[in-house]
Amino acid sequence: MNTLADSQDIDALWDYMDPIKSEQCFTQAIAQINPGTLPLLYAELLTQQARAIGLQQQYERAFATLADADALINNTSSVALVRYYLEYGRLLHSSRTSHANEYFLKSYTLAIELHEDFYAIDAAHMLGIIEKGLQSLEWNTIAIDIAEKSIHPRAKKWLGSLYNNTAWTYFFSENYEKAYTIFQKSKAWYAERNLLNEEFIAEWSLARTLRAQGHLQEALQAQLTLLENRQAANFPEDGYISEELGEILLSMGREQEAAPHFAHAFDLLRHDIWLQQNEDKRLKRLELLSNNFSNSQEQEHE
Amino acid sequence: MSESRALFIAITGGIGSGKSTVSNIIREHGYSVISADEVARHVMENDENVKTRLIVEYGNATFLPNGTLNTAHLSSLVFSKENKEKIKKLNSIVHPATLDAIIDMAEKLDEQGEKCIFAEIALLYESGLEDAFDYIIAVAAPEEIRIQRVIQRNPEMTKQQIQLRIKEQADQGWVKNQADFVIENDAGLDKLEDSIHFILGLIPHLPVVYSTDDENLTNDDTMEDTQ
Repeated sequence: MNTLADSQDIDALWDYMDPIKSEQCFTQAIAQINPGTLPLLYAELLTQQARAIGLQQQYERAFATLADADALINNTSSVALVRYYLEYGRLLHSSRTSHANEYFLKSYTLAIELHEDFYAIDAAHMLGIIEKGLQSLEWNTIAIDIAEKSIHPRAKKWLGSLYNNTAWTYFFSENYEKAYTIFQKSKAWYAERNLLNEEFIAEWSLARTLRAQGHLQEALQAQLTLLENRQAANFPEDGYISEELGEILLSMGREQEAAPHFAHAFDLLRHDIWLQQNEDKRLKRLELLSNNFSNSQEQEHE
Repeated sequence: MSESRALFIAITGGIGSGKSTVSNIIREHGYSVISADEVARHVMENDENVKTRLIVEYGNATFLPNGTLNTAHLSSLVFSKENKEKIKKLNSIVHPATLDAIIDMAEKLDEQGEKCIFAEIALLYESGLEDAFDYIIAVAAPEEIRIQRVIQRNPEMTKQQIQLRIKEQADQGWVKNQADFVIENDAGLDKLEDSIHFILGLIPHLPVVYSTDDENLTNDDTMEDTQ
């Protein structure tokens, strides 16, 4: 008793783009539940409140909230415990503390035992993120397998991002053929659900894989088609497409044609905070190749 | 009701807490809410056995010439000082038939395929009926707000009378500690709707807790605030 069969309505309180607002929503929701009569439901809400606090990088407060949840769960085999392990693992991972994988594994094992596919996939997906190489691929494959076989629509919703993550893992291990096949699955999955933005991302990834395979002409054509499709759908300009067009043309030895694409890419991506924080070298390279373009223009004027 | 019966959920709270507003919002979401007040009134005006006992106990003035309940007369007799026994007596007359009627209504709604049936019952805990429900929602508000609300809808009532009525009911803090869900109705309609929406989102996913047993339901304790 007191265990939610499907917690999607707890998760309806989430706005992952706004953890402060999410925390407020969970605080309000928690105030409506009596921990004396519904301890597991209360604890489950606390785990999500802790996640929202963790996303604000307030790790001490987040761990304290999880401790409150732990006391209420009292080791009862339940969705609340699955989610407690999951969020504990996520907090350890994002606070750069070790042993996160132990908690994801506990979460995965219990979720499988309780037939909670959605959380089993979430835990396997997290293990896929923190493990490296073959182990990462194994966890992603497990997650895909559960999602494909699950009878729960909510669990199946994982498939798009799982295909994407798995394909990238293959890509980075230079198994481009396998990566290409799974990116195709990802594209088809998003297309079936009319998720155009995600479908475009999958198309970009396919084109990127073609470049990695050395199929430059096909890669160029794929990026140009994507550019046209995005324009037709009134999507904003995408610096990553311009960057790829530049890279493909550069690989083809067509530096002059590549330069304006790099310049445009730099223009669009220079304020991207994620790139600034994580791919500084990539931005600097774009800037350099952009400067080459500017210099060549100046020389033309002279 | 069968094993896979509908969830049976009580909405309770003291006078002026806003139970009826909560019930109306829940109705707007497409759920059935049985009002124990309305059922009790219907029983008092239509159940011949109950009517006769009320007349014997409180006189012919209990009903107006058109046959409707004379609530002013009844209230003046029952809700006065030293009234605990009087309330208990009134409820012992009205309650069993009211409860039977509520159960009949709930069973019919269950047979019609409703997944979740609500009942608004003011004196749930005072009646010892809490175990008859799968889950209980308590509606609460600060005493000053409750008094203002009651005065607004019943201008003839004095603050002292309302305070006396509040005192007669179960302590709000205690009720909040007993209920599964608490709705604080003290910050406007938007917040109230948010709170209700959240609970309505959760409830269909909660398991049935109590297998309805008529014997447990039909007791002769007080149930209804029969004002």
